[in-house]
Amino acid sequence: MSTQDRRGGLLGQVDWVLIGIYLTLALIGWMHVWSAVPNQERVSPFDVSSEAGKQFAWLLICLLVGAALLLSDTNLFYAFRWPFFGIGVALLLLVLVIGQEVGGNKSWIVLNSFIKIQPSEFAKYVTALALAGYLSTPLHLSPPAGRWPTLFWIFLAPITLILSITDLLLGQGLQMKRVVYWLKAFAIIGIPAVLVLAEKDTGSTLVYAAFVLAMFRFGLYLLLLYLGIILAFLFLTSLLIQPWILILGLVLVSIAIWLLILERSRKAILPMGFFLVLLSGFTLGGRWVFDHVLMPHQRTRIMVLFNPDLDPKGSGWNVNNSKMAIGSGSWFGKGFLNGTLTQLKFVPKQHTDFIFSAIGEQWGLLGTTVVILLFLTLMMRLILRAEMQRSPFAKAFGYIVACVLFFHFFMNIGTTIGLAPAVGVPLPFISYGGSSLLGFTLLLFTFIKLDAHNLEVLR
Amino acid sequence: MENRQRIYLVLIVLVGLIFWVRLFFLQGLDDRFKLAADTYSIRRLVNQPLRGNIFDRKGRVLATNDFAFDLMVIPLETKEMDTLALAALTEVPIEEVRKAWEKVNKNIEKKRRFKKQPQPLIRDLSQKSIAAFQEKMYRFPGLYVEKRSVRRYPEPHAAHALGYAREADASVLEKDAYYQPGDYVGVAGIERAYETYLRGIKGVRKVYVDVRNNEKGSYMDGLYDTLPVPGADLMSTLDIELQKYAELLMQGKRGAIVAIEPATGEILVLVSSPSYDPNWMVGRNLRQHYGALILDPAKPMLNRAVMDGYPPGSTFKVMNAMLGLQAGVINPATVVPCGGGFRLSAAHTVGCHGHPNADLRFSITTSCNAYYCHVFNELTKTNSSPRQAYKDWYLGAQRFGFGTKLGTDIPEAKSGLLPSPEYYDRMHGLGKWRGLTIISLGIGQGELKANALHIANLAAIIANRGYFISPHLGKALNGKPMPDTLFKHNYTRVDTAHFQIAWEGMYGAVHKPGGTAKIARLDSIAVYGKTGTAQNPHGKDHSVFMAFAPSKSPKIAIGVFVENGGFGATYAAPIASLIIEKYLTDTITRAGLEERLLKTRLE
Ligand SMILES: [Zn+2]
Repeated sequence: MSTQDRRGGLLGQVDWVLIGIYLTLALIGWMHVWSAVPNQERVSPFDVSSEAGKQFAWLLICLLVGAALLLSDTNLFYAFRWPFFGIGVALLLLVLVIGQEVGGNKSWIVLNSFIKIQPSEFAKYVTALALAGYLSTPLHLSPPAGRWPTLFWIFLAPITLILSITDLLLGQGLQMKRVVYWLKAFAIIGIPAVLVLAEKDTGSTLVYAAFVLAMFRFGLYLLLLYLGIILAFLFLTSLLIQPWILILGLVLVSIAIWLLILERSRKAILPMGFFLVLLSGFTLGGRWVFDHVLMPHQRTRIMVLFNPDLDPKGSGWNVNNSKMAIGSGSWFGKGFLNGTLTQLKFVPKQHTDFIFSAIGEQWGLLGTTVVILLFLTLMMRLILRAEMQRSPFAKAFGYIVACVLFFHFFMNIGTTIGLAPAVGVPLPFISYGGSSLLGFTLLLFTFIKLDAHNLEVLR
Repeated sequence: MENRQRIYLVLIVLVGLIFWVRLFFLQGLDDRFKLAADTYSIRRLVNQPLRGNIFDRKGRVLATNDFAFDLMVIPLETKEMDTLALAALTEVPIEEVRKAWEKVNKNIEKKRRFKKQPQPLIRDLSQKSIAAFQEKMYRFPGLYVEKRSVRRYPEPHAAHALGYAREADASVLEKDAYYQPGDYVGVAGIERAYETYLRGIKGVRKVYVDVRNNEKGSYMDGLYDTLPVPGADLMSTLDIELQKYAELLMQGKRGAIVAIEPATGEILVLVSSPSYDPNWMVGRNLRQHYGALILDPAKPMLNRAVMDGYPPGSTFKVMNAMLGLQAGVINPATVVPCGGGFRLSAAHTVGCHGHPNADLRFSITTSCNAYYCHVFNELTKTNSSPRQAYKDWYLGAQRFGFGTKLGTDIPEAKSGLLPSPEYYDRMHGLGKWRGLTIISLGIGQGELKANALHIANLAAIIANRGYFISPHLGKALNGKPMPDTLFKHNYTRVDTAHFQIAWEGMYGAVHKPGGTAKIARLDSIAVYGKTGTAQNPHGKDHSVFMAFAPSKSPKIAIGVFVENGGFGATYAAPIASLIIEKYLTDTITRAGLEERLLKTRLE
């Protein structure tokens, strides 16, 4: 659909495809929260004493919020990004003081028995606004580096080091301006991330990695992305085979690349040697961190990926039961409200982190394919629309929304089918939970609003 | 820069594809999970471990397990409960079935987690009822039969020492998440003290169950199953034969007996009379007997051997003698003129019976009141302030175990009462009391409270010449002795040499002219004893006696209280003497004495 097709007032400018997918996913979520209860205990899906009823109430609230966003002033988001960010950080600090523990992490503010909110969901939204605002001023237009407080450097010392080295390796000599530009972006992400980590909410902390993913579109060294992928691969392999065998393999591959691809270039020896040392160091260090720093339960979460039977009564139990529920759905599922395994809660957190298994059991491969296709369409459309934005702010924001959704999609569904470690993140729009639904609604509808005004933005 | 858009699109499609391929294998091709598709549910069954047996010190069985069959229910899986049909099938009264089902529903209202948990509906069904039910079991979804072990006590004795284990009630379930409805838990005595060893570790079995309530084999080939670990076998320190004899002697009398092996602190006998059959606390018996036991004015459930108790009477004098020697206020040659008592003031005298003037040894033998009022008076004025002096005495008496629980493993143990200086501050006012105000402590009366365990322990201290090992009932777990650290050595800080005079005085009390306990005398064995009388403001005084024997490394120390028994020599001393004789020689030479005691009814 080209931009010319969308005429008329606000309603004509709004991307109805995104809204349609949003509504579809939210309704799927609501119905499956309702389905994942033993048949004898199930009440009306509108009964607010039940999880499904609460989810419906939240959905209505979210639709109101979405409508309010669409009717608001489009300049509001950019103009108030810093006050919003300030409120978000303040709420995170507040939760550290008065927060209550729900399910292992202290990230909830409990208002009463019906309403408890998770400020980390709101923080995600305001961080997206702040980062998009920051990225909307590209590197070549950004002010000179200037002086920054020592604390800032110490706080970000490891990132500074990595960025500086990467910048140096790119061959044009170290450009401090470039390093500082990205450093500030990391600082915007780092502040809420550290606060969320202090709440012991691993899943919500890792979500901030999604912001980094979005930054690559705006010029962050791609080398880091590739390096990240290689390092993740090395780390997981180092858990399976002896690290020194892995290093030996790295050396052989490097020599082969140098001989065959780089044609014995003398200039390449230094950077290649550097990478070799870096990767070897990481392999050994990663293994050491795994063995000595991670808590035993975090270790099993990762090892269970390779061997679900390793911890059959702990994290392996969850994942195995989830896989069994999904697998038992077969091609077309057992039918709606016939998901016996997910109803009896053999999978813990059935409503939240493992809602996908309820869909898999009741609708089989047919249902899971539909959900995956809906998510792929949503994320790809976001990327395509974001790329078309004339406002750099809207563009950056669109990429961030897509990346956050992608991260949740990857970690959540990956966990339920045993392809990602169980860190505990909700499936956007589908998982039970008002705060998370509201958070994703804010993200998506803000972009839809910005997108609706794309034609008004003057080049 | 624009082509970086492609990286994102590729990444999204790639992950989507990987997920879809994985789901295609998981849902489409893999057959492993198809079995689960046909089944109704997975049931988590708890494999109850056998509770550990309890033996006496010679390996005779005191507590073991029998089997019973229970009808279990998982409320979540039941729809309509046809109580009428169930009652007809199992031949259990309809009222009982209805009440049981109501009780289950009440439990669920309290705690929702119980809804998914198997719990007993009707307990102790007969084999016939079980067979009838199992034929029609498909009509009752959520119901099934479970074989369960029940506690049995082959010897109907030592109820207070053994305690009992019974079904965990609401308060236990509330406090400890380990227990589920229907689990057994030790609530008194050894069963309670060693609960964590005796109960073992529960096993878990997960089975597939189809819509018709039939087991369809074990889930994932038993990968998630764990075997129950049976509870540890506990050897107790009790000597059940001696215990039976002691209980026999106490028939018709209220009171308590404790016998200890001085060198080890092992409790050989622990009698609280009247008693009950520990089997009454189990299963259907409980409903029959519990009410009556609770309402009985003689309080058979009360463990008199370790309750707060009564004044220790003259047995206490031996301790005061030791504290006096250690403090240097008397020596063995100190003679206190008696002349019928100790004059407190012109108007008040602590009376004594007529006897020749006594030195320390003879004061124990003849139990002279004047002597010990003198000792206590001297002790409480040696220091600058009477309160400080009393505090020194108080700490000394505490090291003899009075006012403490002695570090015993008996859960019901009470510390009795050894009044602290603060106690008297509250009673008389700070600075308004001195040794003479509370002189009755010198002769073991007044506010003091001690039980048979305290008295037997005092005898053990004297037998050991200055120390005791915390008296206890647990001897070995699974054949391995209890760790030594569990029951510690407690030192009185009175020199070993001082105890010689206590031995001689107590020997005299049994064997010498002027002795108060000559009734306890045995021809073949030296018995060291001390009588006492506990003043009882509510009725006839209580009879107290402590003793140990023989002279070469004493094997038994004993403390006896007989309520309303009068002087110590009347009942407590002969009972102790018979038990000592039985334990050391395994024969009874004084049939007449035994018969007189057996016939005595003091109730
Ligand atoms: Zn006298």
